[in-house]
Amino acid sequence: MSLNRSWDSLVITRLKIRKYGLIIGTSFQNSLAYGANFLFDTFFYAFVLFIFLQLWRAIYGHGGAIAGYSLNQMIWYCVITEMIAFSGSNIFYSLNEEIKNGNIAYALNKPYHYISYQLANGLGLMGIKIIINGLFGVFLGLLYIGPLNGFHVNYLPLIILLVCNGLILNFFAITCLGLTAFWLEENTAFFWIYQKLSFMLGLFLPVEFFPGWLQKLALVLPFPYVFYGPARLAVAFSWEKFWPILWVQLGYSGLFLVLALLIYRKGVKSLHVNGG
Amino acid sequence: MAFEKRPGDRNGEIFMPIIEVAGLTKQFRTKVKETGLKGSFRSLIMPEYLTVKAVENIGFQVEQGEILAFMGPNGAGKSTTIKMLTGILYPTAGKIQVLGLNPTRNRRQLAFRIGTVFGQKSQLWFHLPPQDSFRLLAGIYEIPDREFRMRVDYLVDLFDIWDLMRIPVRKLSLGQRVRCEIAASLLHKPEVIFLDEPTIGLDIVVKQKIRDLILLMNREERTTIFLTSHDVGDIEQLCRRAIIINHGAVVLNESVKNLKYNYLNYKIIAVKYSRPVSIQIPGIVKLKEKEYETAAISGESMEYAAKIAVDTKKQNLQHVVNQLMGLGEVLDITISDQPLEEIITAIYTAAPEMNANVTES
Repeated sequence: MSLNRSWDSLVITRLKIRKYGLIIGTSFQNSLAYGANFLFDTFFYAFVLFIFLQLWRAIYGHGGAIAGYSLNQMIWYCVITEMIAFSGSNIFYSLNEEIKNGNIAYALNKPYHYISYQLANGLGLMGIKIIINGLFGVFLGLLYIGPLNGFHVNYLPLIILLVCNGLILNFFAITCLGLTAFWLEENTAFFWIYQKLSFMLGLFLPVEFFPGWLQKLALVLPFPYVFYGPARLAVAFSWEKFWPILWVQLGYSGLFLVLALLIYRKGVKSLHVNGG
Repeated sequence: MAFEKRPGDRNGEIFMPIIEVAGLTKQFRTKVKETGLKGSFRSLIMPEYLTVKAVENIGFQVEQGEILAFMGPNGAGKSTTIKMLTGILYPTAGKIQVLGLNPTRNRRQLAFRIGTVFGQKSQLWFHLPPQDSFRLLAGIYEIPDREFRMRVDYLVDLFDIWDLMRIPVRKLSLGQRVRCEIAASLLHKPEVIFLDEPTIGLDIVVKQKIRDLILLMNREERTTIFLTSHDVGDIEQLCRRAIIINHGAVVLNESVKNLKYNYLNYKIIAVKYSRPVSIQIPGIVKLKEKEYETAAISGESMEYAAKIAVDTKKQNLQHVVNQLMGLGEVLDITISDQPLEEIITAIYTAAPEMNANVTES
């Protein structure tokens, strides 16, 4: 009898896990419908990197290192940060749209948690993008500047882990911003500020380029852990830096997840679906 | 306020309420703004809010296996009510129980047992064929594989959507999509299905097909159907009982038989003759008549058109049509229902009469 019951609960757990797996898979498939979009993104990725290549070549002039980064490291740094930027989720806009046009109604009457659903959906999309951009990015890096000096392939799984964590941290942060659409008609200003801070504090420049006080300030904020953390360790791995970056990434991801759940719980009560 | 849990007795029949609503109210607060630049600045500094009552103190019950029409003009509060019944919107006040559950507190638990179709929205993935969305929904509703395959075969057959299953949803016509939407919402064998304007925007043939399917699934699986519509045809053909709401309040809650007898008794006949005639049939109401010239090459150049209302309680429709046909050469004739808006006006003004500048002939 109890064997039966535990077998049943095993089947139910399997079905519950399968549910989110299927959402990831479907989102993956649906994203493939935007094939042309991906192609355009990869072209743009190549173009942005080319501009950075020219810029840093001019800055580095006859070689040497700036803030501890050689030209080779700097270009690979940009390859990684842009790879993350181009693979990010569009969850901010999709939440915004779904809440405002009322399509959220269809998502709310299904037996899943809305935030889990969005995460599974986002993982599908980010998954396919990071695979494409990851491979293409490595190809671009090799093409533009050659192999990354001093890179050891043993660290690759750890770098992939940090890149994925960065994507997820970013996902939860912008989920919080997107969910403000429950109350605010116009919330893109938040996203704009978040995006620009991310650009300044990591995407364009490693944190080491800033004066000491700004470095200290930046490293307590979440922004550098999306782009700077994974890219810094990819170009110069050290265990002393790996652990703090990993823990802060996980800490901030957890914090934003809890915040997103709280905002959602409060927001869904004040949902106002217009018409239809 | 607690609900009566025991099955009740009405007209000697045992009934079990499956949906119970009492004192349900939903208010929204919306920002109001005066016109012009000055108004914009004022609303920025001192925003003014207006409380809109979308639904106000409504109460009703739905029995198991019933097909209930929940009707009302646009903006009456139909969709808001459905969204509260399915747990999407939180009520401002009042009690709701669906299948013994509180939709607000047990939304996910309830979701396993109900189905929803919103005619103007889609639950199918836009770029994927329905079969992929069906597979995903099966996963979401935790339907085991074997059961899912049998269910899909059954529904695909019933809804005649074999050939649509592999076409991306974006390429389907509205009618085809709605059929797939309804089939999708039935995958998990819901006990109650909420259909919000399922026939909106469909042509008459497809509308009829959807109605037949609704009847079929009610008969085959004893699914309780909660249908909103502002198409009188939908309730006439499908439902035994109708609730009409307007401005967020229940205007009428009675059997369709009574409704038909008391309020749907008017048929509108539009008729066109090849030459002017004089319609003198006792008991009919002439709403409009017009004589006009036509650019016909043949001799007679005057045509005549009239719109009349027939009270089917007093007059035999066929008899009236026969008389009309006998008056002259009929070029065109159509018989239609009275629009819902007029029925509601009639209910309000108590006397179910036509509200036009009527000239009794």
